[in-house]
Order: sequence, then C-alpha cells, then structure tokens
Amino acid sequence: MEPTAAAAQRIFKEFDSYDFANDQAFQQGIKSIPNHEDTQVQSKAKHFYYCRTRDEFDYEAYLQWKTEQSGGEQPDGVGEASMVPGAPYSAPFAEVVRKILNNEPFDDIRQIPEQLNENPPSVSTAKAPRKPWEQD
Amino acid sequence: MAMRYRTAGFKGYNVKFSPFNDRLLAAATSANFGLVGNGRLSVLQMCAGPEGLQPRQSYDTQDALFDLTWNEVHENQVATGSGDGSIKLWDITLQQHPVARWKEHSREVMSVEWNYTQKTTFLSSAWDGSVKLWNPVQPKSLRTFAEHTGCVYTAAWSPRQADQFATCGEDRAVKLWSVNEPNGRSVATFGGHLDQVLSLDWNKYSPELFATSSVDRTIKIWDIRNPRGQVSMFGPFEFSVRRVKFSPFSPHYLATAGYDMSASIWDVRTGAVTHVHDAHSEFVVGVDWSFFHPGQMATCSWDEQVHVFNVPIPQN
Repeated sequence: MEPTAAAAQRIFKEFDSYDFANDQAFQQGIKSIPNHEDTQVQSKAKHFYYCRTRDEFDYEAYLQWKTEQSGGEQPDGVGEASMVPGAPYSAPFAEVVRKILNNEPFDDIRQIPEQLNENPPSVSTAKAPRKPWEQD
Repeated sequence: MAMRYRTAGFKGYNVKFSPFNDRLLAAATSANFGLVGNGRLSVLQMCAGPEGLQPRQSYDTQDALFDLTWNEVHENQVATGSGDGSIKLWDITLQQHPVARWKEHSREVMSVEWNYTQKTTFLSSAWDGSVKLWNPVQPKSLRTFAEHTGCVYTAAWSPRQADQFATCGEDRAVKLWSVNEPNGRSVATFGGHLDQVLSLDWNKYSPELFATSSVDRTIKIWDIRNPRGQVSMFGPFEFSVRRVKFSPFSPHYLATAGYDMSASIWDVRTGAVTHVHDAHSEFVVGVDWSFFHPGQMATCSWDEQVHVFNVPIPQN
C-alpha cells in the first residue's frame, strides 16, 4: 500500500492530467453553472466532479500541493471568503456548486412577491450635474 | 484607509456611484455567488467620521442581481439586472418593491447602463445574447440588438455620442452599434480576443477609444476608427480581469477589478500599474470611480465587502 502522502500526490497528478474537455457528463454539468467561464469556478467544479466519479481527495491539500509545485505562487481557488475572520460567512463556493450539481435544495432562499410599489414614486427635483468630461 | 460595508450573505457583483449625490452609491449583490437564490440592491451613504458607509436602503429580489445603473435624470431611481432576465426600477425614497419591472430577456441580465448624454434611455445586455434599449416610461423595450452568439457580458454607452454604444461577450466578439442603425445590425465587429470578453468601458476624453478585458487574461484598447486591430494590449496576466472602468477625470487612467482579488489603476500610456487596492479577500467583481472626487473609488467583491477609498491620481 502507498504511503498516504504519495497516494494523495498520485491522485493530484491524475486529477491535473484528467481530460475534462472530453468528458461529456462534466461538460454538460458545468454549462448549467453561471460564471463557468472563470478558472476558480471551473477548478472547484472539477474537484467536485472528480471526487464523485473517480477518486476522492482534499481540495485544500491539493491547493497546498499546487502551491508547492509552482514555487509558492498562489494557484486558483485560494482565498475563500470563509477564511476571513469575523462574522460567519455564507456557504463557500465549492459547497454551493456541490449542492447545485447534486440537485440539493437551498433552504436560505426567501420568496419575494413579484409586485410593484403601490406608493407614489418620488418626483425628481435635482438638475443632473455635468460629468467631469463635460466641463469644457 | 478604506471605508467598508459588509453585504452580509451577499456577494458583490457591481457597485456604482450616484451621478447626483457625491455621498451615495449602490451595490448589486447575490446570495450563493449568484448561482442560486436571492439578490439584494444595497444603497449606501458615505458618512463623515467613524460611521463610514451606512446602509440607506436595501431591496431584496427573488433572483440574483448582476448589475445596476443610476437614472441620469432622476436622482432617486436605480435600475437593476436580474438572474431571471428581469429589469427592475427602484425609487430609493420608497421601501421594499420596485416602481417598474420589465421581463423580456429570457436569461440572466448581466449589464445595465444608463445613457450618459441622451439621459432618457438605458441599455441591458443578457445571457440570451441580446441587447435591449429601454425608456423607463415605456412598457416595452424600444429596440433589440441580437447579433452576439452567446452571453453579452457588457453593453456600454459612448460618453460623447448619444446614439453610440459597444458590447462584448462570450463569443469573443466586441461590437460597435448605433441605436439609429435602421436594420438593427452592428456598425463594426472587433476581433482579436482569444476567449470570452467580460467587460468594456469607454475613454471619457478620447471618445474613439475603449478598453476590454477577456478570459484570455489580457486587456485591449481599441479605436472605433480601426476595427481590424487593437491599439494596445496589456497582459496576459496570471488571472482574468472581470471589469474595466476609465477615469471620469483623466484619459490616462483605467481601473480594473479581477480574479487576482484586487483592484488596480493602470496608466494606459505605459501599461504601468500606479496603484493596487488589495484589501479584498476574494474576487473583486465591481469597480467604479466617483464623478465628484478625483481618485475616489468603490469596489465590491465576493468577500461580501464594499470598499470606498481614495487613490492618488497624478495631475497630468
């Protein structure tokens, strides 16, 4: 049996070289996610998909490994809002993606009635200031 | 020192200063990174002293909000673009519900921008590939411009020509349009980006120039008189730039916000970065310049923070 660190590195390397571009199921899934163009979204979606379909691994450990590989530069995906101290933050990105791909319900969605304001709107009294580039 | 406001539970998508009041700004934000769930328009007041940024109004929507624009002729009105394809008009003297709502886009509205010069109309651009022209007193859009073959991330008015605007999108194309073009086709298409084009803004003092940012991790400056090639290019960077915004006070300075979690000021003559705002801890998605105070800026981010701060801008 491989030592744990070696096994993890093997999975990281296999994950890095996995052909997501030609994986039809992944490509279908990622298209349903808004913002799928950005690299961090893609990286996290790939992690989620890979864990579900192939090998499970820890994403933070993977990022750590990538950082070491790249000589200390920060890879995609570092800097989760959840790392910021202070009040608790909403669910991190990977968790939101995981729930969407799993069709899990979100219980924090409020129902907002689609109605227009019945109060009379305000009347404009101000004159629009000129823009700085209109001063001449 | 930045003034900060926490948009708790909501990730910032864009922030814009009021064109009427030098102490007002508003942010379009979304729960769950805009992927699913509610949106919130936060109207913020800059206060003197330690109070900093204070909430003045807050409006919740069923779906994510990706952009907002202040009405250029009504000091109390803000329009928002929503994940369900709707556009809503809010009166910030009222509570809770919008004063108007339009639903013509079939997918997420990614940008809304009021016309700076003609002032009675605004544009929307959406994931359905279309761009629409609106007058807020009309129940339906005035015109639809459908030529992009994917999401139109940004539609931006020329700061000088009332009928001229430019768009950019998922199909890597950048297009110049005139609202008066009778056939509804674009005037020119600017090719050259190697991936989706996320953002576009016009130079306010050299109005033939505009800037774009792309997933190809470059920024390009274009001249409307020559669609065949860019004037200049910056990058490729390590990360994409999500938004570009030219200074209202100078032809030389461009603000960028991006996936490197910072906002930067560039001197477009040299490509040098003159200032970096690195106080955010997540992607910075929105950036704007005050129309009143040179060098005053606002950013919003997926770290659920709105920042207002001042950057030194050389006077030349």
